[in-house]
Amino acid sequence: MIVLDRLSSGFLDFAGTSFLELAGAGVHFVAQSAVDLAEAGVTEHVGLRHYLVVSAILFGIGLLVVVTRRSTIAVLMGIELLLNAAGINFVAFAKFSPLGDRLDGQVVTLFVIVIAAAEAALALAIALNIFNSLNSVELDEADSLRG
Amino acid sequence: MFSLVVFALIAVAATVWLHRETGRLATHALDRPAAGRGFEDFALALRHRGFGWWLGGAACFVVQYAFLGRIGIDNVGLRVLIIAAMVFLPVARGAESRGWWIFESILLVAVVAGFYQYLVSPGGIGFTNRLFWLLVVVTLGTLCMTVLTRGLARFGFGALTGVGSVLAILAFLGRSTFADGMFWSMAVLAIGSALLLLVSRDIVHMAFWLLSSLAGVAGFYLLLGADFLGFAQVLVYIGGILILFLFGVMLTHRGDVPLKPSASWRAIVPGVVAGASATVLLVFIAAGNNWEETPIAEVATLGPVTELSRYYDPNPNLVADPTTGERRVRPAALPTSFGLGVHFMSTYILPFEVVSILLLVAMVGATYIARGRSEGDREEDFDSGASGPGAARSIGSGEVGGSA
Repeated sequence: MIVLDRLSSGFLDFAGTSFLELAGAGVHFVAQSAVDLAEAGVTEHVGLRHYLVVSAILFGIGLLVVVTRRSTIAVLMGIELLLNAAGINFVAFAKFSPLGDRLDGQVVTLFVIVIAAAEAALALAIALNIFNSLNSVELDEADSLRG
Repeated sequence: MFSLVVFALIAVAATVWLHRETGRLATHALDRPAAGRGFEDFALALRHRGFGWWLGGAACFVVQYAFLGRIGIDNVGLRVLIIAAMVFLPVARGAESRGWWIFESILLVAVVAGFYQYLVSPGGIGFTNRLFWLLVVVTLGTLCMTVLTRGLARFGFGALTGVGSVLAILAFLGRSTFADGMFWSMAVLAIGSALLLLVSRDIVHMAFWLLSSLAGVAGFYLLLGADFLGFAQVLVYIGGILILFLFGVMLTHRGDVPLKPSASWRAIVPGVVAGASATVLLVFIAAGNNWEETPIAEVATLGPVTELSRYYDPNPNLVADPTTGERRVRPAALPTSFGLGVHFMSTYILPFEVVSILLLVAMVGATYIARGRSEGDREEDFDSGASGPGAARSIGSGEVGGSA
């Protein structure tokens, strides 16, 4: 995670320089980060942080899907992504716990999977009902409390 | 100086000729009646050229190569990349095919990265590092995958698998272990599929991108030693929930409306801002925090000592010797299902039972909510006076909502 360390340490150093220098520094940063990432990716040992970062990115993408899509089913897919990101966190924390390799995280993730299945079934039933009454599954149109 | 000018003129002439020829190749491929416009047609057009054409092309290549060396770019890889980018530009423009543009943009990115590397590194070492080979293999892999498949969806899948396998191969060749290589492939699979889910225009495509993203998550579970969880993920998510989604798509599909889940434009700007800032925040928290973390070498040697561990240790990396009770390190992970079962029946017995009831209630509730309106429901409709647009349609054997 050399890249992120550099980003957090050198972030404020950019202030007070001209726009051209800023742009140059940005280009330099992006290119050097790509090189670092490519080299660190194949040499650095995978640990807890790697899993956490991947799960954070998945969570962000899921959030974007939930917020920007209009179709109920697309929003549900985004929610599944959110739940999976949380599951990765549980299992990774349990694996790299200072108390040793624990199974508790896996148990919680199994509960999450079960609840996600129940949620998907119920939400799709509700989507079906919305479709029956409104003839559409667009969330923007479902703005009335009357069936 | 004079010779350099002459050289430059010859090189420009060669470049112009190559551009015209490749452009003609592209239009020739374009004119073919079997309007594929893909790489196959281009290859066919290439095969129809004579020996002299190939000789001219090779001569142009040599001239350009020498000229680039003359003006100071002494790096072989960079020179070849620049020429390739120049040659394929008219092809991409002429063929009007998205695959060609992707190929061309990869080449251009490689050229820019090469220039950057060339300028930054003091001795102009450039392309001896892994990044260059990564770009080369990705380019070739993308090309192969595009030749093998057609259409952007399959192209995207091919590119994803190509990048993933390239990363795995690099990890094998590099200093990392197998598990690390698999981690990077799974990360590419999960995040890449999620990104394609985000930008996909067809809701059925979205469902399949969700499938491959969830498969990547299952790979993470397996890498973390959670074998039962990984296979439960495959069974429940890919086998169950995804099929449920496809049923949902099918049942809520209106024939006159295409399957495009349009994005809500009012939500895009705040959504992108919120999503991006949430991602950045989480990544900073995840990577910047100094987690108290057990190193992977020690994960195998630590573990909770319980009464249970005398005959079986739920810790997958430890095993107790049945005679002496001594705890030894297992090199490979043991199945976790026994330990999970013990946990479910002892520590987590209450959540386990609650979740069982929840599943039952959810099943009954989903069946109730999604049922079609049958004959018996007509009074209900009559009582509530629900007619109008609300009760206009129903699924199953129901009549059109009761007339009030």
